[in-house]
Amino acid sequence: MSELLGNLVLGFETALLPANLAYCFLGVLLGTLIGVLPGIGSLAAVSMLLPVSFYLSPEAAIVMLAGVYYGAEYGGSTAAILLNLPGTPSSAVTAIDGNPLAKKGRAGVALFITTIASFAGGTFGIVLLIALAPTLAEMTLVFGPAEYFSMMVLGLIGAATITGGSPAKGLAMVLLGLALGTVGTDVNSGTARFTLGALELYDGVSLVALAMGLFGVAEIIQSIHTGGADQIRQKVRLREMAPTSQDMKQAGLPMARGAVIGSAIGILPGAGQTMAAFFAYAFEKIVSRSKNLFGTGHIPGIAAPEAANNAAVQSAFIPTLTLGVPGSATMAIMLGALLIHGVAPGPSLLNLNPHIFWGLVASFWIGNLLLLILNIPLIGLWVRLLQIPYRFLYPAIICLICVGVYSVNLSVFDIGLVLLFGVIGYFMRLTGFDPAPLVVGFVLGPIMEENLRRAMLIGRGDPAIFVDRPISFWLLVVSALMLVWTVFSFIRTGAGAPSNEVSSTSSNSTGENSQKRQSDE
Amino acid sequence: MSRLANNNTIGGLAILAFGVAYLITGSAYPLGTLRSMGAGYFPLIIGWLTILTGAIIACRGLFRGGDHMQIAWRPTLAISASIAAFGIFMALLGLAAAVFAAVTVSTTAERPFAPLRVVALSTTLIAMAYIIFVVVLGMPIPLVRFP
Repeated sequence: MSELLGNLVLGFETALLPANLAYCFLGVLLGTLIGVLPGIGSLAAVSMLLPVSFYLSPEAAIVMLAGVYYGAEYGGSTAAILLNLPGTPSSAVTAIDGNPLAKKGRAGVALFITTIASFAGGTFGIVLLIALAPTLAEMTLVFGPAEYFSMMVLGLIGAATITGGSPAKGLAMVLLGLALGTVGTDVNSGTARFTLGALELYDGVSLVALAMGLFGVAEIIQSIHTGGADQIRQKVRLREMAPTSQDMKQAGLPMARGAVIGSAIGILPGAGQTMAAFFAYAFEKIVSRSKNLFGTGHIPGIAAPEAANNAAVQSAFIPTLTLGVPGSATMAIMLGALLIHGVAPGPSLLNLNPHIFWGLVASFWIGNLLLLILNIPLIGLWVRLLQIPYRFLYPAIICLICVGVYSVNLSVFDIGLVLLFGVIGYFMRLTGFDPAPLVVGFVLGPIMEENLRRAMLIGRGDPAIFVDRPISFWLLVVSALMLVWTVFSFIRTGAGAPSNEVSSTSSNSTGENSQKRQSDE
Repeated sequence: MSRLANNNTIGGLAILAFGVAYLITGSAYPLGTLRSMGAGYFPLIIGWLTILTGAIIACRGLFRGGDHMQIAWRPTLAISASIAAFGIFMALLGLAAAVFAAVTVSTTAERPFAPLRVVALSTTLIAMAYIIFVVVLGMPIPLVRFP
């Protein structure tokens, strides 16, 4: 205990050095600013600021990048609520209920709740990070490739079945994501796969281009057509921003459950904040007594995923820092930044560079506190974004998406990819496919293939390894039950009727909810 | 005929077609064995599963119908063209020209065309993009490039 206190004192001493405090503040401010711009999420924000960090000391660089990361994660949800343009896949979940709230004229309340939920989730994640990091190395010794693979199967089936009406469409999206994830050089054999002769694809499809095309560009095309102005025209009065006591009561428990689910999922390598947000949302739907309210602007529908994704942001640092296994694409960039600064993550980080590890942990909490202080007074500024007419906004968003994507690799090829994925994303919306599970499949695909290969090698070519190992077995059983249950409830309610399947997310969720309710009876 | 051309049949067939193309391309890579999987094994599994789900979705569209699709051609073409214009002008003439081209082309998504608004918006965005990406973030993006 006294050792832990000593570590924390060391951490706060490092984090409160004026220089580090300044970079922490700069990080969360820039992160929120970049994240709040629609179509640019935490991944792009961290990538864009990565070159800047090379001029700083290792502590300052990581403290700033981490600040950008959770700042942008917060900002991403702001864009998702106000414009239904999620910057990151995880904020896509927040948009499901956040945007309907904004359309009802309750954007201020939604933003207030997400700020509180983010802070609560983040704080819980940090406490867990402090408690678990030192002993984690022993815990994850049980997890082999078979367990990782089964965990990812569960995550992908979860992502495919909870988001929209048709489970087949969700699975198709996950598979499409897995397929896109195989593009590039195979790490095991060095074979260039599915590059179609393009040198630019040897490193794989750019995640930034993929996400910006599928979410940013496709959404703009659809919003111009459907007259995106209707969500922008309404005014938000100041007194409407304060949540009612009923709002807070509704948000309390989902926030707590979201924080617990989120930090638990965030710890698992390969499962990032997107899965955390999806799971928290799905769990709220399952335990809620008013399931049909989800998708129509229900407070628990934003509180739970926001708390979960911010808790996961913090707890995702546990495997990244202690094991050197990144939990998400953004974590992989953070890992790269550490290595560039000559700091090797892994069990030795705690022993050799305790000031970096504990300084970072302390800066997380200071950063979250800064976000809370920064964002509640600035909510008015974000809401003012609503009043910019869409005809000014969409050319600006197109330019920011283009410049943002171009800035990551300085590659015109990536702009071509944005164009391609934008058109594909619009086509998906037209045909009633939700692209969010695709991104989850895309990120997890390569890690999943790697673990499949390792597990099969360990199992000497016998797939029985996945059911022989108890943790893996139960993860697969839960996956199978989830799939069977969703398919069964979808078919039983005669979901073939066209009216149950329209392209808008909110109607999809309500349709699915009514089906779930019926199958519960 | 038009009853069969609904969102489920079209979407399902598109997934199916992608799966077939993916499987054919992927068949060029070595499969290896179950114990030591080659570069082609994982794509083989994914390819077949994609074809299967695509077929299920298409069948549902054929037998049980789906929603009618209405494509918004004007915004689709205008936005696509504006991104393409950004890419081409970025490569040839630099950031300022690219932003100007993208703004000009993208505003044709809606009528009427307003030249004054295009100039005002482009100027603001060029300044913003330059300050954020080049000055603040220090990205090596040329404001003006000479071909």
